[in-house]
Amino acid sequence: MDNGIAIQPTLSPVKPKPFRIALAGNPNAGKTTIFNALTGDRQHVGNYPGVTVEKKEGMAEFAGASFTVVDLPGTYSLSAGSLEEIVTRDFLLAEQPDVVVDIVDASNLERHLYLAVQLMELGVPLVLALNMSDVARAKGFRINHTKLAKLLGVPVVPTEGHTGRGIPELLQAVAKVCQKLDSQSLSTRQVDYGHEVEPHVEQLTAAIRRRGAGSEHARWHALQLLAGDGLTGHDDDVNREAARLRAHIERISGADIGMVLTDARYGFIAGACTEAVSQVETAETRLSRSERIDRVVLNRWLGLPIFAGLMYVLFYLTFALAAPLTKGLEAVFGQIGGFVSSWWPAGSHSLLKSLLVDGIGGGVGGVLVFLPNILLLFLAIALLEDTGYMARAVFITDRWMHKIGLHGKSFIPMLIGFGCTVPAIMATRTLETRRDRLTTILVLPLMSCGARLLIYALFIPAFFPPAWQAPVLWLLYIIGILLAVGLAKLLRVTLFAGEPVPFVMELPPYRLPTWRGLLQHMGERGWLFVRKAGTIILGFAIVLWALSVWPRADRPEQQLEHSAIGHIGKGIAPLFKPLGFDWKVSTSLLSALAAKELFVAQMGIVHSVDATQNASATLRAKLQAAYTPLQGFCIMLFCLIGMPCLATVAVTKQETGSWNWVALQWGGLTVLAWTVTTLVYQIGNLFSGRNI
Amino acid sequence: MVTCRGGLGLQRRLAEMGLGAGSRFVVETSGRQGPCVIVVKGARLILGHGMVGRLFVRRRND
Repeated sequence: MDNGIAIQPTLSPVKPKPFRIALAGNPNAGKTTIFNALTGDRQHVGNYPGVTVEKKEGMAEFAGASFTVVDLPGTYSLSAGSLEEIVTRDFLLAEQPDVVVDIVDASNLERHLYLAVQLMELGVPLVLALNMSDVARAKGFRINHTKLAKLLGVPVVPTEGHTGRGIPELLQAVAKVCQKLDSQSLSTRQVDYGHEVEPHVEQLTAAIRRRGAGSEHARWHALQLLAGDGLTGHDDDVNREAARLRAHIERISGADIGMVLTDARYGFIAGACTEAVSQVETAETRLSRSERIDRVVLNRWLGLPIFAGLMYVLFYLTFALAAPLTKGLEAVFGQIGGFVSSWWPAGSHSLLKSLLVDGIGGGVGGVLVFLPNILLLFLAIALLEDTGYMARAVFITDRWMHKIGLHGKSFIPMLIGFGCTVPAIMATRTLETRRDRLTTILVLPLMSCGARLLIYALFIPAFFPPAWQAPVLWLLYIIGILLAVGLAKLLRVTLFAGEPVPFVMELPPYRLPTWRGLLQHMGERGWLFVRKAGTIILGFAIVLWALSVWPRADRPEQQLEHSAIGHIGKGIAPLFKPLGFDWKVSTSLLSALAAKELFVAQMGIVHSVDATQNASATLRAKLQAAYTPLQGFCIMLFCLIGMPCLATVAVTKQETGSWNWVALQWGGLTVLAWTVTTLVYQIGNLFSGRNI
Repeated sequence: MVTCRGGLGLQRRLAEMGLGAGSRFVVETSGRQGPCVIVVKGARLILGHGMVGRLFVRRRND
């Protein structure tokens, strides 16, 4: 590698437009660490237009030149197999970055060079970063970088993302390519597909060049068209020609053309590796350490108990550590509410005050108090991911998840769902097929979340003797899990019919996570939650508030009954009669549309409980007088199953991209709740012999 | 590994991860049907439940 040429600082008085670098690479190649090393703190996260794949951008500077760095999603290839691959491919084609840096795990060169070869075929200016060179060295690989660069025809720079070694050299190579000082980056080396295929590739390439569409990346377009990889924008002649050639090649070679091309690429890579890489015997410390740990962690008998223990600790810590923070936030919101209220004289019924304190404060504040819980859960998940344990958890749970038509990767979101449905739905992003993802999202609200625990905490002591309290709580959680299992199976034979797609997943080596990485993962997801869910919740909270204060009643304690929401609640009360609910319950349910925990507050209001007294004890006494234990249980059951909260609605819309799935989830679960609760109430009534 | 039963998409995906027809791998942990861990081209992969039954392999003892 020639590192001798220093880049002259650009002295032009007009600040030049920054060069654009795109970072590509396989998952687990250390892309994020390189991205951080390049950009430092100057970065922000967004989404690619139209999809929920995260897009990270940052700024870097080197020798007077400035660069915008885009972190592309981790992909194994550029075929259109997954959302990430499509996003990467489209970005490279549409945005035409000045240079693409492919980050390659040097200790796993052969596999990682596959993407590099495809990038070479795409014909983008390319620089190869051989990351984790230290790991490769420890594993005994000796890589001749100069030779590899010559064989592939692109600049090759060894890097160590976590120490920052090699980053200046990488930037130097990138700058050279950007300033057109290095003509090597546009590789002239290409995979030779052999005498049976190559002539046809050239034939199609020439046809595409003549037609104009895609002529800049003609050879790549030709290869994608031959493989039938769903490229659009070519005219019928080209498409027909591609289909004809594909059939011809497949007849001659007797194999799927995609496989033929893949084999040829791996052949090319194997050739380059044989020449440029040698391996000497070493202790291979890292791999064997991972293997040694896995011998215990993935053990047939020990794996499950270890997993269960870790999950218990994770949840215990998440909730135990969050509790004081949540209390603190509640106090802060209370103080803010008190402060805002103090602008008006005591006992004032000002609408503006009510909007600020009850509407915005109650709605948004009610959701934001869960932020500590969510952030800690995200931190714990980041810890599991960054250490590499998450992949092991997938392995361990796969066996039983398979029985309900899902696979191991769905387990993690379900687990998170016991904390809060919102991050759980966001965690389904790791699922590859849309069927798996939608099935998981649709049943997720059945995992009884933290907010519903508040409802149980009010109702169970009111209706059940102490000895029964724990079993009833346990029963509710189990009912949720069983319904989720049943529903997942049902979805799998109806809407998402078909055998679950078996998955292949890389088992990354165990790594020591960095605080920076953990906090970054936690922060990114936390911020997405606050921003996206926050805006929608704010809107709906104001609407619900307006419905509850209008029309105005003379006496404040009658306000809810007289309000629009009270009227609607009374109007729909007959619908809830088979479930044993009166209008007070149906009204409270309506108000609790925004967030489940609001149900408790609303029950307090409709039963005219003064918040200054010992509220929950008073409310429990009133509930005891008004309802039977069966009705109490039915109310909890309905809250468990039906009407997913507003935050869930918002995030489901965000993640599925369609209101149809939201409608199916919300409507389906509510109908299910109605049916189950009616059955329980009516059958229960037969046995208890009481009726109201 | 000799061949794989499954859709074209699956076959191609596996091939891209280094598990094409004719590739060689080492089985590290295995269940009967269930997930197993294999080592292919230097990387460790998890094969999910049901995947194992789709791969047709020939054992080599070297």
